Amino acid sequence: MRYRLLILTLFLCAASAHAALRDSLYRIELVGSVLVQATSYDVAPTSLSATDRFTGSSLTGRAIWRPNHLLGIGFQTGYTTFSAEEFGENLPVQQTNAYASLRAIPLQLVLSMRAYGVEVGTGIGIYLLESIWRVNGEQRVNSTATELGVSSWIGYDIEVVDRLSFGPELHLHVLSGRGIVALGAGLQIRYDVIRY
Amino acid sequence: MMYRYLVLWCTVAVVLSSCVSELTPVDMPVIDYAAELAGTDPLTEGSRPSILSGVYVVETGQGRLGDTVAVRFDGRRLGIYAERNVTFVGAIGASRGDSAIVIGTWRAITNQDAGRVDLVVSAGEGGRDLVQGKGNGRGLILRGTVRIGSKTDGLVLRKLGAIKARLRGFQIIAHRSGGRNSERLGRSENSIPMMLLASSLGATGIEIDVHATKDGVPIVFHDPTFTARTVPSPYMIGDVNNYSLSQMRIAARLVYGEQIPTLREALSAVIDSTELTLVWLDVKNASVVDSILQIQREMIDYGTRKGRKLQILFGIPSNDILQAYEASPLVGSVPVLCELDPTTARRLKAAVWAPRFTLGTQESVVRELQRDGCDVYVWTLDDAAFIRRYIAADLFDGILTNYPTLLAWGFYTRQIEP
Repeated sequence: MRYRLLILTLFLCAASAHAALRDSLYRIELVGSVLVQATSYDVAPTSLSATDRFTGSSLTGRAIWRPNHLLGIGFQTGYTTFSAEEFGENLPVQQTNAYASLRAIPLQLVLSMRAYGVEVGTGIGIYLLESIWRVNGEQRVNSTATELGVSSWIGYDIEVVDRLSFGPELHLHVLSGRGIVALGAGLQIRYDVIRY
Repeated sequence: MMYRYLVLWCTVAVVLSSCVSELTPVDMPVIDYAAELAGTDPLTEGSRPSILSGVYVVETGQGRLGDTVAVRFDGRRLGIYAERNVTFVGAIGASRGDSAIVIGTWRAITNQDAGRVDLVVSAGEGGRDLVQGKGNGRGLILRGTVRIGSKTDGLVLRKLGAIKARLRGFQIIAHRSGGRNSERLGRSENSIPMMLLASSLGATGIEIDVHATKDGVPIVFHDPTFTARTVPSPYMIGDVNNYSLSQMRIAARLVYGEQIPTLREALSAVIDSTELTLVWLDVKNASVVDSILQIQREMIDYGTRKGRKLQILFGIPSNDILQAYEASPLVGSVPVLCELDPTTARRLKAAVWAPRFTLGTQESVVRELQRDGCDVYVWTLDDAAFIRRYIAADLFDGILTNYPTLLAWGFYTRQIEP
């Protein structure tokens, strides 16, 4: 395994050094974003929930290969908190408080188009959902499931130094099977790892 | 160029986010029976329910009901069961003077029609005899309308003859306590409201699925995992037995908003509030076999004390449940339904052997077990042709189905007693 990593590292270094010497047409870029997110459920998560809308946060990261075309293809992952709430009153059972949260890790194939600093993309794949429960501060329960979903985003970035740029991003997650729609707004940072 | 790609992405997103075809709810009419039946008398006073029960030929309304229907009347509640679109009517009967009136709801399961039914048995068309308890009701006419949306159709049903009983008895067993969520009956599968509806659908017994919570409480639930199909709450995902009962009580609601019942709650409701004569416990989790057996014993005693003729069967669908049952200190203390091979059913002295219908009718084996005092139920028949064939064999003591209405129609109309 370490020999493969070594070969891959050497290849990336060589490609990077080679790419730096001339005008770029092909590249591999890494993009990370930090977003504040609003989530809407089709139905309130519990009978005790006061609302079906929640705020949370989201981190996403994607690696995209951009050949000499407008279209790029890559992989996206991240960590997003759709909702978290505490129940302290009117519990139907004899507990004094409970906490529940729904989080997700997207694992998606993404297609993206970037031109004039504007990027539009769509991801298709699964979300690893994780439900976290605590009752009276104890009985922590983590239960997981997978769900199909799509994401879309639009962003704009400005290059601040060679290969490095940043800008605003809007990001949408849709898990129609679970009735979840989440829209996030935040900042993205982009780095061209390889140019050739 | 940019515009074309934008359209492409939007199209992909719209198509993918539309992949889930949600079941649209079916709106049943709400009837205020107390108000509408004010001033009427119960049909049970002086009358006999058997006069109204029977097989009827459909003289008007074949497009909605087919050629024949079965009518069951218990003195107050009336059910009409038809093959066409798997249609059932759940109604209340009463008398007004020399006539009988029937009002209720109409539901066709396969085409989602729902509406209101108003029927009358006028004095000259059998109503007088019905109210006075005379005759056998042959030739009696139920006449009225069904209103579905803005459309009203006439209905005329003429009684051909009585429902013929079967010497060994026969159980019409509804899967998942009455019907699946996909049938959109306004109640969730394996919920207490669905158990209370089962008789109206034509069932005489129900099959319920028994899983376990993390803290070892037997609950009535079909799947090993929570999915949006059964529990829409986003906090309830993954394995059912990851969650304690208290967590389920906080967050888990079935698709029509009911709580997931514990086994004890479900059996209490069946005993207290239904006239079902059979509950088949389809045990899904071997870790709580002892608890299930204990609850089953207690509920059998409770039913006996309440004078209920209710058989509660411990279902053994697999070898892991069999092993847990045989290892239990309560082995042999309750009636058992065995889905495994007939040799195992005999060894367990099972009250019921329940083979899969795809194995065929297995006539010689079935007859042999029946001679030994073991009833035989077959599962799960939903197709009208198969239902007819298995009923015509006059072999089985019960059939499990997702469409108890269809099975009730098939069984009650199989042979008309002159």
